[in-house]
Amino acid sequence: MPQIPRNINGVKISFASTVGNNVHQRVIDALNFTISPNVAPGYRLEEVYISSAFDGHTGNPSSNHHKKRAVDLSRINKTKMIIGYPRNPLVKKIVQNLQLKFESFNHKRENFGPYLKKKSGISRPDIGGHKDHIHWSVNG
Amino acid sequence: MIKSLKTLEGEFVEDDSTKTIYFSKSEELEKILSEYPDKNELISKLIENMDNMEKSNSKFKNENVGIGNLCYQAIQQTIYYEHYEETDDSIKWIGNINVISDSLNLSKAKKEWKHVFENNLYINQ
Repeated sequence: MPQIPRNINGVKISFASTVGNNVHQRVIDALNFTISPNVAPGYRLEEVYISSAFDGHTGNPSSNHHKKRAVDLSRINKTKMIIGYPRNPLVKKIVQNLQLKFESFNHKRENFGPYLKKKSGISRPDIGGHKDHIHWSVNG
Repeated sequence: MIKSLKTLEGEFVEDDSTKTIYFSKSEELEKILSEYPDKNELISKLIENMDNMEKSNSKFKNENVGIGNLCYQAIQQTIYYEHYEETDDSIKWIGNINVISDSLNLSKAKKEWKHVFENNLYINQ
């Protein structure tokens, strides 16, 4: 399986030390599709922190992380989402636009985060949590 | 550390545009947490105090909230957990609480977080 690169479209990608970043190609395609410095006009996305890919969730076979089809983002430009969203305008707008952009990705599956909770394009307000990170997964 | 959380004078604020409740002193809280040397011990203490109903100096809608609410905020700034169900991922995990959760829900959430912590199921923020 390919590895998530350390730079996507000019945006630095940093990883938690526990992250196993070998994932399905479609996860990388999704990141290439969504992440860019200008994803939110008026703000500059410089760095995304990946807190999980194929690693910490691997104990649960139901998880798309276990299938190497998911990735979690928990910091924008070094600011934790739990701290910056919605108070920090940059974090707020970039989180919102990243989640909106992912909805246009052909192979999207789960798009759970502070702004949206959608599965295969369908709103899922019943999904709890995710106010502190974005979880994306892709179809097989 | 719990004493520092208790004396922190923050406010849980409801953001109208996003319907999100955020903590106004999260950066200060982050500083308190960063000064604690042993992360495992820190998480353990925070979980242990999740159902601590003693009033803190922080408020929500002009009411002082319990220390447990500060501990939960601190947990969220430190780790997270993604809950999955084999057959239905729509079932809400009772470990997810909010600032208006009562003591019963806080106790239930504490039990869940203990399980997550003891089985190393969490992700570092």
